[in-house]
Amino acid sequence: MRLRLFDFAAIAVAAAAVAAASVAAYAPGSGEPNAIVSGDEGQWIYPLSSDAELSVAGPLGITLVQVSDGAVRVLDSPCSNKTCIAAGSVSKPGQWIACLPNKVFVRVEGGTSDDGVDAATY
Amino acid sequence: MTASTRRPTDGTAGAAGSARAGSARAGSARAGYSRAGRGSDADLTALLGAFCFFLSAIEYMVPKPLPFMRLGIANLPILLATGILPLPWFLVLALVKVVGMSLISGSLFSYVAIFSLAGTMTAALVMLAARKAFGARITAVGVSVLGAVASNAVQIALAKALVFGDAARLVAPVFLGMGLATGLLLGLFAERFAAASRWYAVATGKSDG
Amino acid sequence: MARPERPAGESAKKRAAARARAAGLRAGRKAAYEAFFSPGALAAAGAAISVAFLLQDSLALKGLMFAAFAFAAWRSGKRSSVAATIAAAAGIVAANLLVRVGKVLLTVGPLQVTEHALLDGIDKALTFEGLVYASKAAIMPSLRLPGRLGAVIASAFVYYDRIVEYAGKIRPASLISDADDLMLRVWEGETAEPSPECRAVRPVAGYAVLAASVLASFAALTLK
Repeated sequence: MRLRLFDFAAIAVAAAAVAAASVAAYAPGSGEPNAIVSGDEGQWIYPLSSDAELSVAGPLGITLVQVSDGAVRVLDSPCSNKTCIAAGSVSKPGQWIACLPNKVFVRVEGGTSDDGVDAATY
Repeated sequence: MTASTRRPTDGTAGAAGSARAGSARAGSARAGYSRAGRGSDADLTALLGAFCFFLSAIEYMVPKPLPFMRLGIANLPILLATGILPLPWFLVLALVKVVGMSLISGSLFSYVAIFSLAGTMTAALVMLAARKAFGARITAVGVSVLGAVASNAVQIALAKALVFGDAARLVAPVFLGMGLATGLLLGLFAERFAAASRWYAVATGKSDG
Repeated sequence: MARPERPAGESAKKRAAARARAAGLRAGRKAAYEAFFSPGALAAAGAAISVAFLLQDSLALKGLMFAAFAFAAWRSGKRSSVAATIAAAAGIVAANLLVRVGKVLLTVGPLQVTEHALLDGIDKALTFEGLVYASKAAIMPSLRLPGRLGAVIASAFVYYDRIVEYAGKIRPASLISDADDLMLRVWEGETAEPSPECRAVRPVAGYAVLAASVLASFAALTLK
């Protein structure tokens, strides 16, 4: 039997859909950026697109980290110089904020692939 | 309403079960052929629905790479029905397939039924639309491919929302690819069946038996 | 002295006997269940309870309800595969763990299990499988849906029985012509008439159990 014009069109459309889905799923850099927060008690990961407020405990007390509007920032911290708060919001992969006195480290990492996590450095 | 007239069965035809006897009977009954009684839309819908159940049972026995993937063989009667049933009964057929399978497998209230409903209705509507829109310029192959891919796309979206979350993105290409493949095979089979089948000719009113 | 070897057929026979025994027990449970509950009331209660289940926020209570559904499904004599349930649940949890959210609980090589993703995955898996079991317990094969749709479905079941009866004659080599013969044969037979619904009266206790279950499910929504 002979295939007709719109059979080929349909197959083309379907193939295009498969290709588009493949790119969206497997291309490098297709993942969302995440905020990685490390503290004395452990580590947290939140996609930048989510909304979350974290209380990270450290030697000096609680540092409040907020993820919202596609960025992460430190809202409050018991350190004396408050540079971490002044650093504002970060949202690009590789950017970071640190509260050294309270041992809290925040960084932005891109992609959903599980990279090996380095030990937190100060 | 379901047809309630009972046609007297001819003993010889029943025993022989041959096409000649069958079509001879259909030929002689043609004079009184009407939309009610034998061959009514309700009756055709029930018969096609029963074949959906049958093919679903077969599909269930075929081992699947991922438990959530469905091969779509059970949509074959719906594909054939695009050329047979008027729109209202076509939709009833899709519902019969979904609800009937949910009753048989006892899954009426579960997500499985939701996936089945969304997938089947999408496939049915897309297939009917393609058939009506493109007429003679498309065969069952194109119709089936469009229906299968659309159906799988909708199911992936549901899976993302209800079950898998963002990870559904990772299976989407595989699932859509399978839709393309099974759509192609199903469409090819449907075309050849429709061309060769005497039953199909009777059902579409093209044949006198 | 060598021990006499057990003939190979014996263990296979034992397994077959065990399967037959299990099937017999299942049939007994099924008969008792169907005599106790009316199909319509059971389905309606199942629908209501499913809604309450979906609205339930507490993971612990959801787990309890899941256990109740699984027990009810077992009691109804329906077949269910524990392996399939576990596999599906594991798949759902694993898929949800792929997107990391929340506190890191466990790190195994490159893989990280995060708290929120884990809880979300467990919630979705519980919901999915819970509804499967609730449906199994709530839908009886003798259920007749009302209206014209119900009538068409009932006719379809009659045709289905006929198809299964004739289906053994299909050979892959002559698939199309065999399928065509099957269609014609089923088609040319008598018009399908569904058998009248069994209208046996069910005990009041059955309705009481259903009502209590529905009430309990919704009451559980108020627990914190």
